[in-house]
Amino acid sequence: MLKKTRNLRLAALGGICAVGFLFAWENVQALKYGYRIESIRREIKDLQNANTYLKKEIQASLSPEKLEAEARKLGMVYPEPGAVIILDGHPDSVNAGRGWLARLFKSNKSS
Amino acid sequence: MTESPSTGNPALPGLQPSMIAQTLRKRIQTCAVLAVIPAFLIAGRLFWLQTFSHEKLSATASREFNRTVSEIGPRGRIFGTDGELLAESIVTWNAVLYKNDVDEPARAVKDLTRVLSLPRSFRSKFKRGKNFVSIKKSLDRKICESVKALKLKGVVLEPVQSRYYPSGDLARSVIGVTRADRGLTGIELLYDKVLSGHVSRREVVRDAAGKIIFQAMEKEARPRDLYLTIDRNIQYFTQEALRKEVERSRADLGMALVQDPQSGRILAITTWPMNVARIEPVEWVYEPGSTFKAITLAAALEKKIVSEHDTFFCENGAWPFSSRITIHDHEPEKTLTLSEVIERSSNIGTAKIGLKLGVKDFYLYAKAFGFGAKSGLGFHGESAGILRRLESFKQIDLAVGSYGHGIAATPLQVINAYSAIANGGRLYETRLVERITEFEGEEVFKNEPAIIRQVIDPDISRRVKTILKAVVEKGTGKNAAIPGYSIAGKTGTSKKIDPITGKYLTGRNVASFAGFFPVPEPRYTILVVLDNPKGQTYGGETAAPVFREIVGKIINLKSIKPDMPLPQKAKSR
Repeated sequence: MLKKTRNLRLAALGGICAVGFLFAWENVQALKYGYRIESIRREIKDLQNANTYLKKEIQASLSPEKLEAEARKLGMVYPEPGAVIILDGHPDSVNAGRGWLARLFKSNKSS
Repeated sequence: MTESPSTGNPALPGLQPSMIAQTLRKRIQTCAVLAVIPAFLIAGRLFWLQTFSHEKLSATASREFNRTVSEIGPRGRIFGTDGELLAESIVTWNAVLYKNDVDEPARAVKDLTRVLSLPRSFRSKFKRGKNFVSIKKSLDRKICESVKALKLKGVVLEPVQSRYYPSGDLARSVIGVTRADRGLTGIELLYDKVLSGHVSRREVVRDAAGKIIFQAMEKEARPRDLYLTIDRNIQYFTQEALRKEVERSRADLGMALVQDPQSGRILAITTWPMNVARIEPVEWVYEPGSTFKAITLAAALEKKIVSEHDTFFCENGAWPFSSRITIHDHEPEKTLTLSEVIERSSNIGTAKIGLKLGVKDFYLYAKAFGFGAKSGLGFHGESAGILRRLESFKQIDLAVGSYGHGIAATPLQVINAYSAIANGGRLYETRLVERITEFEGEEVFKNEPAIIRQVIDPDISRRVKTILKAVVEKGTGKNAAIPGYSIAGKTGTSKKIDPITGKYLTGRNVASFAGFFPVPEPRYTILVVLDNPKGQTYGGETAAPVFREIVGKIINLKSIKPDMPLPQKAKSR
């Protein structure tokens, strides 16, 4: 009888300890995940910033001023009015806007 | 004699085992009680803290670890008409230093000076500073990473939102500037409520070291996007053509505008030298000079006071209008047809047309074309120009006003009037904002073209266009001509007025050219104004070539086909 009571007491004590440990473990885990989530959130923010900066660089590279400077470096000049012969169908011809450069421009505009 | 077996503890002779057990039990119980008492005390204290002091303590803890952080989100973006980004907000970093936390001050100063290209004065600034020292503001991501790589204690990089303009100074005077997320000038100021970043508040839980454990995040709300009517490429070509001419002619100021006459949309608006504090084309007023002759002509044709068959004697270049005032032409002319009066820009001929028109009709048509009233763009500082009241118009005011003197207008008013002539007589509301959308989302506002009034009949518009086309083909506007393309326009040269004395300044002119093309169905109206060009001072000599250059670039950019037969010389080339 005495032994049974003692066992019950031990079991209760063990149970309380287990609950206590579980509670402590849960808190530690919550804290750990809190730090982890925060670190991932920071990482996301950094990546978003990096993405914005890359888009910014693309936009800056496509600015007419930069394009003109690059074109001039390559020896290009503006055509005189009348020097460009516009063919029928241009610019809505079948292949217009299908090249990789046109696609790049389109994707930049949509982004 | 046998000894009875001892049941006592040999160490404690004379004590019965039951007594020993009892003593031990008592001692254990005492120890247990002693051990439990503090536990009870602690439990009691905890109970007290958790129940009676709970509110006070949790408030203190909350103050200690929880913070409500307020943050201003990025400002709205501004796009050109085809979705080219003109302005957006990006994260930059302000580098600050807490001297007390720095381990090796000498190394920190040396490394920071090298990485951030700081001036030599930073060393003395560092020495003078007590604890907080601002190092450099608005660092971009690359430099921020370089500073981080130094791993300097006491150096803090604070993220801030900065306004960024991918196309540099392109259309900056109209886009404007911001400071601390507030628009100060231009569109940034006019649409500040639409563009302002949202203020977000969130709960942040930090540990003792200040590290964030948890923060309540809501979905980031972004302000709306603004789409302007500005065409980035046309804006660039216009700006470049104007800049070159202002530098060549050493003009005090240059302005150029390009408008779609069929909708009132401003495709380019530029000033050189650049001034982000003022939008000169809507604030600066000048006497439009001979460009106004087209308005007088349109009004006179509409009122059927003159026709293309009429002739005007131009007094051999000097017409004594009164004892004090003589009207001059820059070239002596005898008798000219109506078209020739405009082609050769005869002041005397136009004054005679104006006098035939009469004060009332002249005033009403000038008003109807938008002179003397603000365009409605809404910019702070926009001018309505000066158009004297009908009651105070005298005959001499009418005579000189018919060729654009004694009237003050903004470049925007002049281009609006020319667009009305170009499009069949409809005066449109000027538009600079095309639409407003949610952040990368659906459209919430579309600025549809709106006609203010039908100023002249479409047939009168056609007749005025024919005469203005002749100005470019064989008149004072020859320098605006491009072989193969029908272009109409009018030169203008007016004297500058001294704002203090109100008298004309000698040798200081405003040269301008206003025109449109292609003449049958105009798609572009262009105005070029140069304030006080040196050397060649006439509109046909300075402003018309700028007009031609802009038209030439637009023709190639928009693949506009020639609408007139090419002259033989041009063909053979």
